[in-house]
Amino acid sequence: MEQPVPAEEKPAAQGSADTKNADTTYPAGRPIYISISEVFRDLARPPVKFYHDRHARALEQEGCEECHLKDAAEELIYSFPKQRNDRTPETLMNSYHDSCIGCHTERAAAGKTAGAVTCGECHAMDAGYHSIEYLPRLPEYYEPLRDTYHRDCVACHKDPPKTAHDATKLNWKSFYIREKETIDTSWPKVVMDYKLHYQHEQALDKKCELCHLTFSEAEDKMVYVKGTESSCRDCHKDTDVDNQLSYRHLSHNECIGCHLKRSKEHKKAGPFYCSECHTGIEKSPEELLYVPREERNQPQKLLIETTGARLKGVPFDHQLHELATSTCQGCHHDTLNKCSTCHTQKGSSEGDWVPLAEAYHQSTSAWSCVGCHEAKKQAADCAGCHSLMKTELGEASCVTCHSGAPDASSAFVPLPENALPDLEELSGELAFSLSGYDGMAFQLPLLPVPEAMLPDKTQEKMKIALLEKSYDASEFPHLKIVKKLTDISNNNRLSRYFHADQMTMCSGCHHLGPLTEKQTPPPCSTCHTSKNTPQKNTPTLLGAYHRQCLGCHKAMGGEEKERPQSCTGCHKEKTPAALQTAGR
Amino acid sequence: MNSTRRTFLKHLSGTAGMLALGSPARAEDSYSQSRVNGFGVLVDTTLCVGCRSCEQACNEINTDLPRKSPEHFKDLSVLEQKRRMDYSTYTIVNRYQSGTETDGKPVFAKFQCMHCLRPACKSACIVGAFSSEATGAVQYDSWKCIGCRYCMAACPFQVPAYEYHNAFTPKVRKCTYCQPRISAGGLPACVQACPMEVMTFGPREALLNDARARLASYPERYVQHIYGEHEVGGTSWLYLSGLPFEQIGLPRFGYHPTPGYTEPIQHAIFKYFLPPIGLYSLLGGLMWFFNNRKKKTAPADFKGLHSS
Amino acid sequence: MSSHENAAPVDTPFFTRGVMLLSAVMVTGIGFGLYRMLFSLAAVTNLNDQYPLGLWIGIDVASGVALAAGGFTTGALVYIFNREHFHAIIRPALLTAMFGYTFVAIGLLFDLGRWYNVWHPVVPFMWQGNSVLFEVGICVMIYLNVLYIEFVPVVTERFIGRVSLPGFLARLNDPVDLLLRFLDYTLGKIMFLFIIAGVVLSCLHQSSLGTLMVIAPYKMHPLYFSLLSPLFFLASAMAVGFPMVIFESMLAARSFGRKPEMHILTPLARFAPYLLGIYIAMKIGDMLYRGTYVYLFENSLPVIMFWLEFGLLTVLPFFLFLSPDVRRSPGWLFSAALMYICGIILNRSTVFFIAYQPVYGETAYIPAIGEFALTIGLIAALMLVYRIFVTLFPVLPAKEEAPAKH
Repeated sequence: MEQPVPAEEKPAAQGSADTKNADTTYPAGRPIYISISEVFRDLARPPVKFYHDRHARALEQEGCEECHLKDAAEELIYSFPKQRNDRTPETLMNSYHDSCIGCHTERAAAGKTAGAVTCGECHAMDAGYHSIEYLPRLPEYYEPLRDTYHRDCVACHKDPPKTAHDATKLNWKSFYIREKETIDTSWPKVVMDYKLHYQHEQALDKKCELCHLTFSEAEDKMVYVKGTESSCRDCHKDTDVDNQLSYRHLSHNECIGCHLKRSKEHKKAGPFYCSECHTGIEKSPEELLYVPREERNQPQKLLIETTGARLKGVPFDHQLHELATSTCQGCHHDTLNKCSTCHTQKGSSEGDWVPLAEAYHQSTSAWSCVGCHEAKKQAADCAGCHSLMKTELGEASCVTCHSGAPDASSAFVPLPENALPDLEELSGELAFSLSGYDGMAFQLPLLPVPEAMLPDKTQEKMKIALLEKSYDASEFPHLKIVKKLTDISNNNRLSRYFHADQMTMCSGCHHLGPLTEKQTPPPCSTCHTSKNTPQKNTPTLLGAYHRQCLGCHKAMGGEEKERPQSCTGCHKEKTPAALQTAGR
Repeated sequence: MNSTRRTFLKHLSGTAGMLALGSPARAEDSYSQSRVNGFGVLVDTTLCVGCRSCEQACNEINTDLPRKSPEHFKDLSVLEQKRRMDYSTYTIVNRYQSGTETDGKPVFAKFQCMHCLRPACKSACIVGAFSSEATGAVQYDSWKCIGCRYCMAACPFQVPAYEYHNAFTPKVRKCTYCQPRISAGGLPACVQACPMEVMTFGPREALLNDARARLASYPERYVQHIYGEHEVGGTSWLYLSGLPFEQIGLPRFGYHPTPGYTEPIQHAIFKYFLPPIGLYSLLGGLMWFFNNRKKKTAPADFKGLHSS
Repeated sequence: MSSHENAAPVDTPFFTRGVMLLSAVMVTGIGFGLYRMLFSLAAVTNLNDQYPLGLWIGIDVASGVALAAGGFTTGALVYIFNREHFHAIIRPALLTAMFGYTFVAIGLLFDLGRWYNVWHPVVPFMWQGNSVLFEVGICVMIYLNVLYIEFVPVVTERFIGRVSLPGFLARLNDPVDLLLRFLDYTLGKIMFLFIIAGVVLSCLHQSSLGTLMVIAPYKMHPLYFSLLSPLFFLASAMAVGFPMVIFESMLAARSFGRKPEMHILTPLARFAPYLLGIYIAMKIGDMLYRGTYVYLFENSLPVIMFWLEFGLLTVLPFFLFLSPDVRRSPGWLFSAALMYICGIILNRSTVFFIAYQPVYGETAYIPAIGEFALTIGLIAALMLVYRIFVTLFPVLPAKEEAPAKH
């Protein structure tokens, strides 16, 4: 890991604190916005932008103890300030001011680089805080925006005011400050993805007990129980509760504490500056394809079925799906247990009252099977057809998953070469080969291109009745499009599985009615007529063509030549001579 | 003196009565059923590609607008600026950027008269040049217009444009809803011309149901709100959008129609003409009282402000 | 105690240097007006689709109507509340009001796009009773006629027994004289009806001018949007009546070489703080109740205008009028009156085109030279016509024997 930048003490100019020096000496990193709105409520001044990394680097010699207390076991407690008095907002404010301004003043007097001491330098006005709108207290009977605000706002702010006096209790001002906040003050999460976990495994010689502890009621301490390794988040939530630290506090204590200790012992250690963990970069599953997954004796091929269900069970390749996520929590969003532990058939409080069926099928949730597949369908390659389709499961798609126990003779189907990303170098040690993967549970079909079935080109002629722009007939390259879409589908495991039936591909455009291999699908004009009064959900032929073609091209993007989005890209304009003969 | 006063008061109240009965628009100041049951247009801005065919069709149909060539509408560089309707066009399309990324997908929205159910322009017009038709169209009659431009100040959507450069016959210009076409069972020109069928024309109630169905079927595509369903009392032109409506140039309005602020004041002041008559009587009473107080001197001489 | 003075036409020479200057200004203004008539609004004004109401509406129409309020306030004071002491200023105030409203109508003609249709609101089939502007138009029209009727006694006084029509019309001298006597007699009996009607009509249309912009709540700056706007307009107009009378009376006195009639104007000014105080109290109370005081320190033009027109040019005159020394001093009285008059003009202008912030506003509206020229030209014309009438008719009090000190 990279070593921290050594601190450089610059002599202050003219013997006094030159706060401008501090701005450029050390890289700032991401600011922490100190607003503590649960205590301070209405802010009299903009929140302070605190650059922790800058301070950490500047105070490298002095160490973390300069600002943070140590507990009895000589472990750092990462709360601030040292003498934090949060009895009232005033005392809390004073604690901060005493620590921060006090330190800055001392350092300035000693000629070291120091931070600001005046109000406005710390409480700086960012662009997003300039215009804070206040809602004037308009009496009910003539407030122009009352209805809108009551619809949107009272949903959270219960008990709408009956009089103007009551309105003060809702603290409209701070509500509107938050509404006008355009600065994103949140920090990117540190994601323990498979790669990060693997690095820890290697560095700590696969000693799971060093990190994965659970609390034992009987022994009243943290113990390691093999086979139950999980995330600290299972118990440590968002706030400190009695003795149990919040996840934020815990992770900083444990992670940074360990890194610091190892660093002092000159072992390979992780970073301890904010921006080096909170990078904001989340690795995609494709980038993590070759990272070994955790071994926790998880079932790899299983049949998900429930007793008394009307459909057959779903054969589920867990090992394959591990390759489709960046972290176990991509699916196991709260605990590493199986879904039915918390999501019972009828729903329970542990599962937030989401019943099991909904947990598997909820199309808008990234944690459910259907939801994740829906999200994948939004990729540009898929969006051409799928963005136009409704997000609801058709009945025909049920059996695609609910196919019952898999065939015993499963064949291993390798991915095409060009679908694999470059191998990543990880400390020169990693070598994960596909041979370790014992193959998939079922066969993925490859769609053939039914060239024999299709006409060479289909010419569709369209006249736009109203406008002076008249176009020639459009030459529609049907076969070329089918070939391209088939190629795209064959290159992706998910689409190959679901487009098993060749007719599924055709129904991307020929979207209604049963399709069979023998028959040509009916032309669009069968249902989409050119009559002048369009029905509600059935566009006329004009709209149908443009929504289908233009809609697909817009969703998939790409070059104009390949997927035209301009008018003349699809149909040429009539020449002036042709316009004349057409009588326009 | 008494008889003349009495007769004068009689004449005054007679005139007042005539005034009360004479104004035709008075009776219709509540939601008219015919308008709520009129036609609407549902604009799905997620479909619009900004081709300006609607603008071109509008220009072709409305021959009183300055003629523009088809090449004029092919020029898509105008979309770089945000435009508004002016004297030469009843409708325009603007381009908006979705998200904060520079390569965010562009979103287009078409603007024209919203044909409100409770139009501010109609309430504001001093001569009643605006009328609400059964189809929902808000029609402008330039024959009546005196050119005071109060309708332009009243419209919350800033729709009416004016021919300031016309010295002798300036008109207010705004979308006509293609009233002749829709009365005969046809479609507005812009609705018909749109290749993507962004707009759907039909009974307003049916369109609201359609819009709700779309919101339910494609929840991630749309902001869950139909703009114009209730805004400023409801409009005939309804909008669906994938971006918050303020970001596509549709301002955030309350549900109370704007004439609902002025008309109660006006109607209260002239309720059966009681307040003016009451004030008149009060002042008359005061005049009598103060004059009687000075009975010691000669009564005030009203002989037309004589100085003696 | 000499509240009853004879009124007589002024006998100073008419064509002074000032008159020449006013004529020049008037001709320039009318010239721009004619240019607008021939070459359209766009040629002369900076009005656009975002700002349909501009300087001509803000000053010529709205401020004009407000400043002509001296007519009904003095009428109420003298005839309803029977304060005979102020009798002598009735006629000048009436003249100011009459021409004020006449020039409002003339100014409006230049602003209307289709001025030749200005008679439309009179026709019953084009009445639109929901419109605020309709009420303003009808009330102003009726009130203008009431003012003309109220002025008839001045005409009759001037011409009864002195009718001498030129040339062949001389044979009509007697019928005309008879007519004038009839009018004089009749109106003498029923004038009170018109006076009360004038007060009622004034209250109606002054307040309705305030209701005009209530129809655009989303375009008005919060400091200037209130449902009490009609009350504000009415109260401020009533408050400017007496300052306007003071202003024009002192101007006329200065112009004709007379001493200002402080024995009337000083007691008149005693009413000003009450009327101003009511207006100020209402406005501040509304601001507190609605919570719009939070906008007082916003750095925007409407707020700056608010501080200027309300803070400086309304509240300060209020305090000035409170002081007896100010009321007794011609210079200070004139200044205080002028300040509040400017405050009214700025207030109306702000409401109509400064605090009016269009939804899709791009460029700000700055009135063009032509707009200023016509406005100032019409004001000059008003002053000229006023001078003509006081020269022809018995409006101002007859001059005293001893020549006045300048």
